[in-house]
Amino acid sequence: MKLPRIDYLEAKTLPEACALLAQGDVLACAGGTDLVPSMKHRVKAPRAVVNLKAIGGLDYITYSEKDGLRIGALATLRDLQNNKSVQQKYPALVQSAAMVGTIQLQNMGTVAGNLCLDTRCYYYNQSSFWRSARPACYKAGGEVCHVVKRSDHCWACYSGDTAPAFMVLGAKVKVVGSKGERVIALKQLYSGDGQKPIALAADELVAEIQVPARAAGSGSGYTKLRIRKAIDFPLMGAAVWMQLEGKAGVVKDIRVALTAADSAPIEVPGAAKSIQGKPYSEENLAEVMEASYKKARPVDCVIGGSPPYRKKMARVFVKRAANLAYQQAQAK
Amino acid sequence: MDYAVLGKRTPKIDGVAKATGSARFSRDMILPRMLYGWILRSPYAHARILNIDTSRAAALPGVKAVITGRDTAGVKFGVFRETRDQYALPIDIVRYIGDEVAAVAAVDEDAAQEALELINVDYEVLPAVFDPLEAMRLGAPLVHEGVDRNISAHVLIQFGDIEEGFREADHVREDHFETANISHSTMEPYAATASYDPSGYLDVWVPNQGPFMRRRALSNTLKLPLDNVRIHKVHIGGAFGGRSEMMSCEFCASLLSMKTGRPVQIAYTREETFTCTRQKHPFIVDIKTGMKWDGTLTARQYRVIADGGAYLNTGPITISDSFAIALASYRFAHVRYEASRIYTNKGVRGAMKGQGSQQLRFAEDSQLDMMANDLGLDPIEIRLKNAVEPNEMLLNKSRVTSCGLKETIRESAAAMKWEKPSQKTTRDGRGKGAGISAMISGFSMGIRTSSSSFIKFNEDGQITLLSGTVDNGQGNETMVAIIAAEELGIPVEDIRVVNADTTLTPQDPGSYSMAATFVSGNAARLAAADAKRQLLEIAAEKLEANPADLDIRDKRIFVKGSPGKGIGLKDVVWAGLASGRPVLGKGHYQPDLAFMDTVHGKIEGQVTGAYTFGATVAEVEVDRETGRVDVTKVAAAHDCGRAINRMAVEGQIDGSVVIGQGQVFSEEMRWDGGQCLNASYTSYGLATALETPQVLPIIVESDDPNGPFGAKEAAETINIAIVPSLANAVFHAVGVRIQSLPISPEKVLGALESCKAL
Amino acid sequence: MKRALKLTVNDEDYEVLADTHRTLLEVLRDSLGLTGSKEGCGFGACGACTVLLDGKANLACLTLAFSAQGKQITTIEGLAVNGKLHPIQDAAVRYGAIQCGFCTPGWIMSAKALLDEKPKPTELEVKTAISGNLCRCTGYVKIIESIIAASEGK
Repeated sequence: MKLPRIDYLEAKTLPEACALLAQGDVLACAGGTDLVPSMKHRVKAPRAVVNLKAIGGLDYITYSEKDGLRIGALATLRDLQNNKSVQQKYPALVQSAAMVGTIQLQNMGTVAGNLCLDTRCYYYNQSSFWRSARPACYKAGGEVCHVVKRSDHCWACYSGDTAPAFMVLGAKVKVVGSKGERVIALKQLYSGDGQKPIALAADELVAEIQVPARAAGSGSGYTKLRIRKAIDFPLMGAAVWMQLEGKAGVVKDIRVALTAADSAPIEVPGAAKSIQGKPYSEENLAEVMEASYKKARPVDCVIGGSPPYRKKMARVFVKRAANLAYQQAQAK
Repeated sequence: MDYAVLGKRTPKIDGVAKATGSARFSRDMILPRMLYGWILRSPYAHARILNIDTSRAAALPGVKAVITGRDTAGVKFGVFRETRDQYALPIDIVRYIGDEVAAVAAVDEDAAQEALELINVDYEVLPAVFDPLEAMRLGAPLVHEGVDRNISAHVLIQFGDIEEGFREADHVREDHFETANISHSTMEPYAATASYDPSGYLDVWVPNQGPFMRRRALSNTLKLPLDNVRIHKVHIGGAFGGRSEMMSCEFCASLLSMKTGRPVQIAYTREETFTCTRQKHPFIVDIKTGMKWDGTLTARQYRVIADGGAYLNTGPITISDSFAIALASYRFAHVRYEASRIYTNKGVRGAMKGQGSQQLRFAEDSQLDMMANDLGLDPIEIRLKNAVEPNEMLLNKSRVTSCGLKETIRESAAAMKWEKPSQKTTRDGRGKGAGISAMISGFSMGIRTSSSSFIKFNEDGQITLLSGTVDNGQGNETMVAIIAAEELGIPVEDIRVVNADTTLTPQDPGSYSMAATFVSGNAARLAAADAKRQLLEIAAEKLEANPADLDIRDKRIFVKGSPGKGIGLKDVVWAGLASGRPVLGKGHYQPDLAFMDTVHGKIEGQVTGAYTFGATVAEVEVDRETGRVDVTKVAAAHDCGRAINRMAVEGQIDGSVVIGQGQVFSEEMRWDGGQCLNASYTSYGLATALETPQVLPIIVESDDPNGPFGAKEAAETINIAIVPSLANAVFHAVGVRIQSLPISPEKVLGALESCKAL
Repeated sequence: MKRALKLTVNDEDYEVLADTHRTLLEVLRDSLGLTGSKEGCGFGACGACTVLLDGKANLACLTLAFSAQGKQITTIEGLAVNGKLHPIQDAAVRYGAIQCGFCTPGWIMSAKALLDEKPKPTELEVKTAISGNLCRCTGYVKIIESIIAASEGK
């Protein structure tokens, strides 16, 4: 399938890129693995794209006890998996990056781009011909939702793998725009609106991802439900971070986030309360699993499982991610 | 038998070209001055075309031609006279979302694609129907006017007395099964390059399973003399039955080339390849089977409803041929088979790997295990008890010649260490299941039943082998080369195969119905034998011996029994050329077959030259929390008659297992009305390398009396047997029986939960 | 709009005039005549268009041609040296890993990226490396075998 006629721009610095984006009708392209298919489908048809990969020095991944983990805008999902510090400190990041699509997509796609992944829906991620057979949906500029009939908004599903992992690790992102920069909690990157899920202005970019240094006794894990072991987006994905204390391995804190559960990656609120101060066990995790189940609200917009099934799977995958997190937390 | 070349592990003769990227597929045929075509498709599932205004599109810079149905000769196509219900470019009615409306040729794809948006079509939207059961109700919208209740084909086939058969049974079960709408998913998207020469000749490169069939369809629809249409040999990126029929693609490319006088290429997108070429028929099967206490089958009754999509074409073959094949697996005295193929306003369903055999087999062999379980019988024993045997006359008066069915069952079970107690459901999450299948090696295709082959000895002693056989990837070119090499006592490397070209090569049935090895292979062998006779005659003069006392091996002709007395092959060829006797071999093979009238369900008589057989035993692991199934190990035993090339037979077995695995667990074209929701590789679940189990391929050689060197076919049998094997393994693993495909995690979990609830 | 595009493919420098919206796959195939890389889906899910960019497996169908400037691009045509097959190609032929051949260039490039980075991979690493390369014919069994054989010099 052909791309629409778009102009190709390059920026050598981030401010230059932001200035080009500020001209309007220009989209940023790093790995291109999300944007290029959307343009082929004509759900995105900008006047031009600006290739961020021409910017030098942005593919760094650094770690220090003082600053924690810093990931440059152009570090790829593959770079993330291959980084020794990430492997040692943040297994959830390695696990989630390794579950994105395929090796090729991990080589091309950036971590920042994966966080900014557009929401998905099988009425939206289709060719212009396909979509011409029914009225345009909200996300494609129309006035209906084909998933939740009579809904007044879009229900497209956030399906990124790395976002929940970064979220439970307490990540922040540095956002740069033509008017300056700001650092926000990762959660604030997401609008919750399926139609425009990423809360960035047209001229803004994620310049850096910041993760606090690993706390003693903490661990993280990510896993997801998918039909095949490659290619598939998550049908339900869960990330868990937990911190243990004392000799008995009592849970001091726990954070849970889900993907493919809503139009944004979502944190399960108050997850910690029921298990804090108790030793880690599947039994003591039960309320966390239940809270996750309640929080998930998948809709029928992806292939592979019905919403009730996927919702049910929130329990299972939270448990599995928690087991992974526990493994790291209790290891010496 | 001690063969020099046959039965070894021979690398494919086109392997190097494919490994280096130099092998050219239809889309790689980039010709000088070539134009690019795109097809405008209907966004309505059912509509009348009132008017098409192409003027704005035609005026777009770069656009060289625009065609609609009105520019065509208005000839419908299809393999049988009774099944010609489709225009290559519809004139009045469109019947599914994606049906062709117009086509454009332009200097580049951008211009062609933009031109489509400038074509104005006025439609009168007609009521549409998508579900086959709804389509069969009185008063449902008719996809084709005058076709009562949308029944595009209906057959009723009976042998024995079905009621008597059920009376004889001690146990009777009636079960309901449904199979999924599968995509062939050839890795090469559909594409055609056509070049029309003003002197009247049309050259076409298009993926096909039979160039001669394709030539006929193009000649008919374009109103060109048959000989003026040349289907060229081109590399073909998979077929699996999906490239049996002509598509709008090559028709439009050809017509646009005729209009513009320039070559035209049309390459379908993956989405078009999914929805606008062909798909596998999903079946609804109600099956009732009678069995004695000891497991002996007495009677079986089928009621099948096949969702056929918008057009018919090869459809009757799918419903009739599949039953003819089913007769060759288990022995019955009483059978009744009734099948209806239903029109719906969706993409067209056609042949895929065994026609509808896989769909029937899923029902038959799943139910067989259910009955074995009811009666406490071992699934392997029950299969052995009822399996067809060598030289058995089937109910439809078609004789099984060679038959290694029981060996395949025993050997696959042994390879998987099947033990009697394993018939009991262990319910520990791991389980094994068995399935069997039969297949045919070609059927009657009228004047295209036979294959011919030529062999030309060149002055250096190497040969050119001309064969009509087409290679879709399975290795048919290598197969004919090995057969000729064995017969002639020369290495495969000395043979250049020229094939699948309607102008250069003699007629051949094509690689449908598993005819290639049995029919084309026999023709190649006979051509080689003819050349060999000529060689031996010339050599006999030189050696002053009787030709009957001579043989060829390692490029040398020698007196049998005294290998020291001989002459080099090249010298013999030279002697022939010098004495006006160039060595030119000719072979023709036509199996003596009854015509299977699939349209009317008349399947009596010898319907195929040979039957093949196979059995698989699969082992799975089920995740009880998610319902997800992993396939860990599969033993697949295939009676292919004789392995011409062991590596190729193993490759067919491996591929059949993994395709089957995808079809069972993850593949399904999902529809919302007339739209396929997952016509893409992102969301249609083809198995990946990470899903591949350990495969134990087992080759059983029953040495068929009529096959070339005893060979029959190797490909489809295992793809059919594997499906019930996997379903049966899931049952064995966790005790739940899923009767509709795909066996998705959600279905397995749902079934597990209902078990718990009980 | 058309602009001058400079690419380095298989150690050769090319300069062509290309539209800015061309993918790398289109330019390789249509402008440079390197038709070994295939379009199987056009959406990055099948891997038939896999080429190496600076040694890493990338999808040419999702890569803007202009963004590949300045990178070392390796395609299937660049693997055999002076007619001698690369060990992966050679093993692919000898182990029967090729049937229709349409996915072959793509997975061979993925395998090359793997073996260049990890000369002795495990079976799971091989499977993972080619899990983005769909094949409908072989069931992957002999593909996996052939890559392992190539890694062992067999």
